[in-house]
Amino acid sequence: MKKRWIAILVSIIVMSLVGCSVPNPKTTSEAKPASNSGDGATEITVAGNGGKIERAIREVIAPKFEKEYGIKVNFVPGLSGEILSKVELQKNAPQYDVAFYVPLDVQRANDKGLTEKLDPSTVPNMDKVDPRFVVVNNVGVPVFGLVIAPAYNTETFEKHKWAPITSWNDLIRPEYNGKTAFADIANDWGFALLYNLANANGGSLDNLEPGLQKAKELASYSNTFYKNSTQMMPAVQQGAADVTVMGSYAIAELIDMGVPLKMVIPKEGAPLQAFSATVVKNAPHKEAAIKFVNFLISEESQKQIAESGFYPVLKEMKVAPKYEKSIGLKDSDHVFRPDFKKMAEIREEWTDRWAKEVTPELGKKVSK
Amino acid sequence: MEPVRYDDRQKIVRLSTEIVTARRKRNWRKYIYCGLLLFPLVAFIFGFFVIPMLYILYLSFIETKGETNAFYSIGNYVHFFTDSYYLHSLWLTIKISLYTVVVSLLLGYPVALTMAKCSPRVRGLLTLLVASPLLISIVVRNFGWYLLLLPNGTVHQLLISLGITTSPPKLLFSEIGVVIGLSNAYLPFMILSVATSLYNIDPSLEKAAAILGAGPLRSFWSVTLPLSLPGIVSGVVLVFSMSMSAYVTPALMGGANVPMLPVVAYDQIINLLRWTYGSAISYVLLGITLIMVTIFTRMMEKGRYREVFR
Repeated sequence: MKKRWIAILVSIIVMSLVGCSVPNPKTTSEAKPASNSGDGATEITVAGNGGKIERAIREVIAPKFEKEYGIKVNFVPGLSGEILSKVELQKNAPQYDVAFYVPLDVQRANDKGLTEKLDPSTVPNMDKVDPRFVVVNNVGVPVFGLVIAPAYNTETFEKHKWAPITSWNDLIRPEYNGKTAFADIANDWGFALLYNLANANGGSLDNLEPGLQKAKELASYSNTFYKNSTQMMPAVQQGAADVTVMGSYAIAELIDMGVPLKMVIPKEGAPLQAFSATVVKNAPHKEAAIKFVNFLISEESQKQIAESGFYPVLKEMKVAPKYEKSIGLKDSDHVFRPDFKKMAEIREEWTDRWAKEVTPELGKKVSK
Repeated sequence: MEPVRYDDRQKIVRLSTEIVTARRKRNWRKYIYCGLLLFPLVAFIFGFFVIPMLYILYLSFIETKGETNAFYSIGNYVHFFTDSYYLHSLWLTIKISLYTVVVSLLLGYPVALTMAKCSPRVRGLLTLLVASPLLISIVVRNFGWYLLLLPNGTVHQLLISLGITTSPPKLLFSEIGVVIGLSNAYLPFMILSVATSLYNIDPSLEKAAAILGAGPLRSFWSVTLPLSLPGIVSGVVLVFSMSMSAYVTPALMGGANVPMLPVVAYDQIINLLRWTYGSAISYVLLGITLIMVTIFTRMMEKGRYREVFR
């Protein structure tokens, strides 16, 4: 009797495992063909970052899109990496139509074959996009522009008569006494910190070693690295940190809240990039998704997006007037488009090294 | 009371054997009913727990080289146990879980004792109070702690303005912070399981101890404490295994400074998309937790106080 039960159990387990073979990304091309159900679609599912991006889409863009095209937008919030993981898991039966990623994840999604190629004739607004924001040509469109840059609390700096920050290397100073808010390496802002420290010290994405050495020093003068913006923003707002590296939209939001912050474009330059929208490979409502993507980069939508503190991604368009003072870029400011392809290749290696070599240095030189 | 006569005894014996045979006949039927009643739960657990866990186990034995090459191997496990970073993270996880167990036991036991001794009305109120933190999501509670404990935050300012200290201890982004958060989250489980076993102690045992000359301390140490061991053991096991697998608290309150294993596994899977290695980490965590919990319960059940567990 017992044996029979065991036999039944084992056979069920074996059956459930037969369904899985060694996951081999090459087989993705055999996935079910793109459905053309886009024609009569009445709703699409969009996954994107929570917070500011979610609000901009839910409250402003989606209602207008629905009014114009009669297509309802369901928004699923999540971090870029989480969305990419889900899209990868669902690659044989995609649930999302449009996925928002940070540029690095656009690159990774593209490398893994998880994005649809966009045809410029079906996305006519792509013509007007500023190429500096584009991650991979014809794969997704940039939507929410930003720079990742240092910012500091001007009140504290004036009080202590500290020299203003002008270089990435100025982020490393014993005087800050641990009152810094830098993101951990797994976060986009953290990785930006690493390669910009490398840039400022004779390195590059091909050689991050100088950046890693500098980062060790930076860690020794910091109490911690923060996991994400949800942790960093209250720390800066409450005055637990006077120095930070953040996305410009977050800096703008803090300044809006009355925090005396100043964003700096260091002399070595700061990376310019954008949260980008991609159409998921074999998306259930592909055509509707393409319409939505095109709508996101229309002048009207970009105007609204600029109002929420992002840089518009269209040529000839400027930051919203109310943000001109806080995050507006001057012609003399050096901003650059990072090499995301290279970044995707080296990300793993340097994330490991950061965790093993930089993180243990945290707080070592902070005076108690 | 009348003495039992011989034929009565015969009758009793006969009756009891009849019951046994009748029971045997009914047994198979009982199994079917039990099976039917259990089926929905078993199916649910099998579908939503066992199969996904098996899939993760299967993933953990796959090694990937580059984007296209995947093969079966135990490489993920070898990597884990040969890399000091992950071993340190494992040790940190165990250490923090043990601290959490000790803190919640020390804080929880007196509360449980109070609950056992007080009147039913007060006990009801206390139970409600103890369980009330469970009504709020752990994310919200920990974020509240996070805002309070931030350097320069409310707690620091309070300590400074009361003149207790000029340089407050580092409460956030440290092991202390994580232990505070975890004990806060899991204390109700410890209290409730200890209290349940205290309720079951026969009060006359304490009277007997007092009659035999034991003072309150001695009576607690030799009677109440040993008899509450089953509750302590289940509380310890609960709190320890939940602490081992906690993600939210270490991620929020530990920052990058306290890389406990669940956080490391999450980072591997979500940020580096290394599904297979993350799966292996999860299984190492599961295995170590199971081994430690088994050894602990075995030791308790076979030890000096084994009678208590019968």
